[in-house]
Amino acid sequence: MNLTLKKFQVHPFHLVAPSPWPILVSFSVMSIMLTLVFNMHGFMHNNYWVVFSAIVAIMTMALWFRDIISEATYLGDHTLAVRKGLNIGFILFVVSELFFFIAIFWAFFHSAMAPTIELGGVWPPVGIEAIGPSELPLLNTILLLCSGATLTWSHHALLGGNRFNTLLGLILTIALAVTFMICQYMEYSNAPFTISDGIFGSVFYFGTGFHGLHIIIGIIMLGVSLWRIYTYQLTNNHHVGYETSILYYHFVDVVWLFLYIVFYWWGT
Amino acid sequence: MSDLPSSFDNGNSIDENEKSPGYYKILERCKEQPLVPLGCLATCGALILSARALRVGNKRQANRMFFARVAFQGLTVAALIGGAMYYGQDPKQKLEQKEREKMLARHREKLWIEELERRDLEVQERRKRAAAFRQQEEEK
Repeated sequence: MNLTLKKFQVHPFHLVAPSPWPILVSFSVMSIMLTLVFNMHGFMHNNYWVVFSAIVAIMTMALWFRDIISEATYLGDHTLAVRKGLNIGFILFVVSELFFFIAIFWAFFHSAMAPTIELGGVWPPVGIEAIGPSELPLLNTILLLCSGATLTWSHHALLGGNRFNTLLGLILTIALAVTFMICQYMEYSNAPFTISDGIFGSVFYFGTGFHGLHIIIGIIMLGVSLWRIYTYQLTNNHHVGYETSILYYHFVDVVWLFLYIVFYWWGT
Repeated sequence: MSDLPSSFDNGNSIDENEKSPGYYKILERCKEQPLVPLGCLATCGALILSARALRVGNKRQANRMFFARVAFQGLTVAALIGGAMYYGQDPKQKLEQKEREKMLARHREKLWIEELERRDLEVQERRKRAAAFRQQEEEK
């Protein structure tokens, strides 16, 4: 009896094997933080170290995710209980992101609700030519909305077992997100204010820049999902990675709604 | 912002809105276009429900809620643009609003300068007292 039990796992959980990635990712993320702080304090020739730590962080993260994917796809470690845990973990991560964006909006409202005398008592500050809600930002809003729609369509097709529509929807979503990023780049390069002008520019690029960064992360996540669906790693009833990517992308999309209303529509 | 007491605190304001013109502006815009905040709430609600559906493993419900999220967001943006076009048609009202904002800004500036002068006066008086005290000490 004992001999047989030892060969089987009598619980549904995944006891992970010793792995170098948690500590390496921690150290690389810490060095990103440190080198960025050095940069902000004007240390010379520090950019190389920022880039270096970013590369190390991205590399270790990619290797860690590679391990998780092989545990899920080839070792079958992701049972129902494990998938539930992953989902809850991801939702907690999204909640932490939510509070991060709340902090950004707090910074905005702190400066915009009662503009100080140095800004001329008005928001946007005197002499600042803000970007209005029409034209490019409106196009961006529509692009993101469309990408949300194609993503939902792709998800729907996956649940219905339609491989072609799933892949097509996902490719369209990624294409729309990339177009959004290009438009955002154009907006930045034509903007009449910079990040170091004063509070308006700082808080504007703080908000829209971090949103853009999140869109890039969303594109990477959806890209990995696309590859995993294409190679049959994800199926119509087992696709935690895709589900979490979808949730993340929708979250980032909703953040844009608030950014658009607060930064572009109300704040100008 | 410091928590120090200020001359702004009592009785100088022409109305309450001038303390925080931004708050007033938000309220006004929400009253103008109530569909926008409602749409935002509905969008967030759909997103929260979809996360909940994912957590309990109900994929179809999650997909429906994602759909609702996109629909609500679309309606919110449509309401926003529609409202902006509707209110944008009245340039006179817009001008009045701008004038009002400018007036408030000027008023805030005036108050601030008065406050600075008051503080300056205080500093000068303190210096005068100190000088008088010093002279007194020297004479002793």
